[in-house]
Order: sequence, then structure tokens, then C-alpha cells
Amino acid sequence: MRAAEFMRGSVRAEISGVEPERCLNALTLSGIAFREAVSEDAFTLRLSLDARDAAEAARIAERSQCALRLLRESGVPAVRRRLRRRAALLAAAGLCFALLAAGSLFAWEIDVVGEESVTEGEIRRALAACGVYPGSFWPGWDADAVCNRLLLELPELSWAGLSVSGSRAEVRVRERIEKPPIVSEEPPGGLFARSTGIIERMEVLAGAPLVSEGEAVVEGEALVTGELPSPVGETRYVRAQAKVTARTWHELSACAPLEYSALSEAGTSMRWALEICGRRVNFFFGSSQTPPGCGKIITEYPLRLEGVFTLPLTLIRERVLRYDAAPAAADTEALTAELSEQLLTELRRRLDGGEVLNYSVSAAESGGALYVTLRAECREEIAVYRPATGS
Amino acid sequence: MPKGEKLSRLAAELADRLELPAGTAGVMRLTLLGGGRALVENHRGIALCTRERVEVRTGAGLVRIDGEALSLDALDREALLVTGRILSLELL
Repeated sequence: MRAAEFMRGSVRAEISGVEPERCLNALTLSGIAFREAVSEDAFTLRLSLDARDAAEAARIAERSQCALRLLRESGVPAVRRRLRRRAALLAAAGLCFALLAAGSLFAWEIDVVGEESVTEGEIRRALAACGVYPGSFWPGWDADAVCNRLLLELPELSWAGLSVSGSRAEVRVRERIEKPPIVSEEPPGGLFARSTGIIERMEVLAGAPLVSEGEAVVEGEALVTGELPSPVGETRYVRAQAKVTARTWHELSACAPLEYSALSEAGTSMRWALEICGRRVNFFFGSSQTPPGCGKIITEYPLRLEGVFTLPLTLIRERVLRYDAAPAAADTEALTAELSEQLLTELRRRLDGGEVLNYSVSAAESGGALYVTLRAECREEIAVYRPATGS
Repeated sequence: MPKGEKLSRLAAELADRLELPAGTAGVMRLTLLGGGRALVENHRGIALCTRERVEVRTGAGLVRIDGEALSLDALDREALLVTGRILSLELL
């Protein structure tokens, strides 16, 4: 049924007589529009027409020596007539609508968008101090005042915006970007080797080199000094700057037990709770804490229509899973691969931008544990700054 | 030939001579849309309506539409629309 037909109201009628086609022609000549005329048998036709034409159509059918019988009514007038007889239902619907309208004047959901280093909790606490919290009356908010106060409460923020849609408030924030230091404020000092290796390349920007390319250095050895003696004056002290690339060798080890506790599901139980305006009502006895040796999966069903309205009602389902622990033997190959991967990740973290040229992994079992050793040849920047003592 | 049919042919002839569109002279026009819809314009009423056959009176005679699950989807003084699985059309 099309929208216009639904609004006007429509009836399905049955025309029976010796020649129902005569009735169709008579209806057409009278300007009564009908649709979906289907023959039931040689003497019966069923058709749909506008509800307001039904009485006139019955008269025309009678004149055509046919009988018109209404089968069903649909559309707005029929619904309205039906509802008139159901006052309680109408009142309940009206009450629901009124509650919904009243509920939409309160912010039941507050979303915070755009935070990076400032936590959502900090922003929510600051908002609550400004009067913006779940269940607050949003027409009473002054968005500009709230945002200004929020910026004063959290100096890390550079901008904040507050918008309300239905009973959902959205707070958008932008964080302040700290200006980077233009001039290094570090005191004079030298550069030292952080790993043992052979220097491949050396570019000194400030200070005097103490080693040269091709030379082997040990961990902690001075590479570049910040002390610059002058033949004509006093010795100058600078903060040494250089890029020193060296070939280095690393050895990392890790171990893991060959036996572990495997968990197997031993049963589940379900329990329900209802959260009304932030207050929780449990439909079960005892504590809501997870019992020892169990896991808990919480599913929340908020009463809301996304983007339209949110009501302060949330149905909570908790599925408590009980586990039994049993000892199990680990897969040695899989464990070796996992430990190797972790060692490589750790090595790359330590290299801090350097590259791994080649590596080898060895594994050995001892005392119920698996020991994995990674040996790698790398290329990395080895110069680390250390301030000069007594300057 | 019935009088109505004679008049209709005369109108068609006149429209043809004056190079007017046939529709302006009240000439029956039958349009088949795919195999599921038949639109009859400038009709003169329904002669028969069953699920297997619909007969429409026109100035050019009787149009018989045979098919399966036929129904009159819309009907007014100017045009009618028959829907269903149309198998054949005949001008009688």
C-alpha cells in the first residue's frame, strides 16, 4: 500500500453478481477509482478502493444488479476508529510518548571525542564539575560557559565544543600542542659508545672525534669529546653532536616453562541486572564480583535508538564461565618460534632505528624449561650523549 | 459494422488526414510493457474480467488479453492497466 493510500484509508471489497464487469464499468463512469481488481470466479470480483468511496460504490453496485461486501479496512481512518475503542491503549501510548519527550530533556549518554593524552576519565570528571553528567537537564546548560570552564579545569586542552542531539551529548576536544625546544638546553658533554662494535661511518657536527672509521670500540668508550682546547685562548666546552654508525653483535636469551596450565570450560551460569539512572539493581543473590577461577563476559543492552534517543535503562547480562586448570605440555617448536619472535622484537626496540643484518637462533631444553638464544649482527647508531662532569 | 466503431474509424481517418496524433482523435492505444503489463488507453469499458482472460471494449473492437493471474491494477475513464503474466493479445 502506498503512503497516500494509507493516509486516505483503503477498503478491500467483493463484488458479486451475474455480470460484475458491468459494475466495474459503472464505477469507472462515476469517477470512482479502484485498483487491484482480481476475479475470484465468473460471478465474483475483488477490488480495492478509497474508504470514502465505499458507500457510493455500494449504491452503484446495487444499480448494476450486483452486491458489494466490504472485506477489510486499512489505513489511518481505520486505525483511528479502532483506537477510539481502546482508550487505555491510547492513554498508555500517550504516556510513553510524554515520558520519552520528558526523558529526551536529560542527557543520558555523554560521548567524549578527540582526546589523546588526556584521559576520558579526567575529561568526564571535569565535565561533571561543570554540571555535565549523565542524567543532567541539558536545556539548563550554557555550552560556552561549560567549554570555557572545561578549558580552565584542563589546561592541556586548547579547544572544546559541546553539542546535544536528543538525549545524547557529544563533547569534542582538541589538545594543546607543546612547542618543541628550538635550542638544545643540554649542558656541554661528550658522546660515548652504547655497544661494542666496529665503526663504519662517523659524521661529527660538534666537538672533536676521539676515534676514526674502521676502529673497534667497546661499550662506554668515548667517541667524541665536547672539550675543544684553543691554542690562543681558553678551552671551549660544547655539547658534542655526531652520527656514529657501527657494526655490532648482540646476544639475547629467553626461557619459558615446558609445562603450563591449560584451562578448560567447566560450566557457565547466567545472571541479569538492570541499571536505572546509573544505579544498578541485581536480579541475583550474592556478590557481583567474579568468583575465583572464573571468567565473566558482560553484555549491555541499553534502551536507545542510535542517534535519536537514549533512556536511562540498561539491561546487563553477565555470563560467568568456570574453568578447570590441568597441566599440559607445550609445543616446543611453536614455543621456540614465539620466543624467537619476541627476542627479535626486543632487539629491534634496543637498536632504536638500526637494522638487523643477519641472525641465528638456537634452542635448548634444561630443567623443564626451554632456553632460546638469538645472536645477531646489526648496524646501528651507537653514540649516546653524556654530560661532562663538573661543567 | 456498429455505429460507434464507424465513428471511431472516421475520427482516425480525419486525424490521419490532418496529420494529428492518433491519441487526440480518441483512437484506442494498446501498450505492452514487458510480459507483465498491458496499458489500454481510450477504452470503452470492460467486457470480461477473469484471472485467465480480460476483454476490453474499444473503438477498434474488442481487445482480448489472455494470460495467467491477470488483474486490473488501475482503471479510470481514459485508461486501464492489466497486470499478470500476459501470454497473448488479440484484436477481435
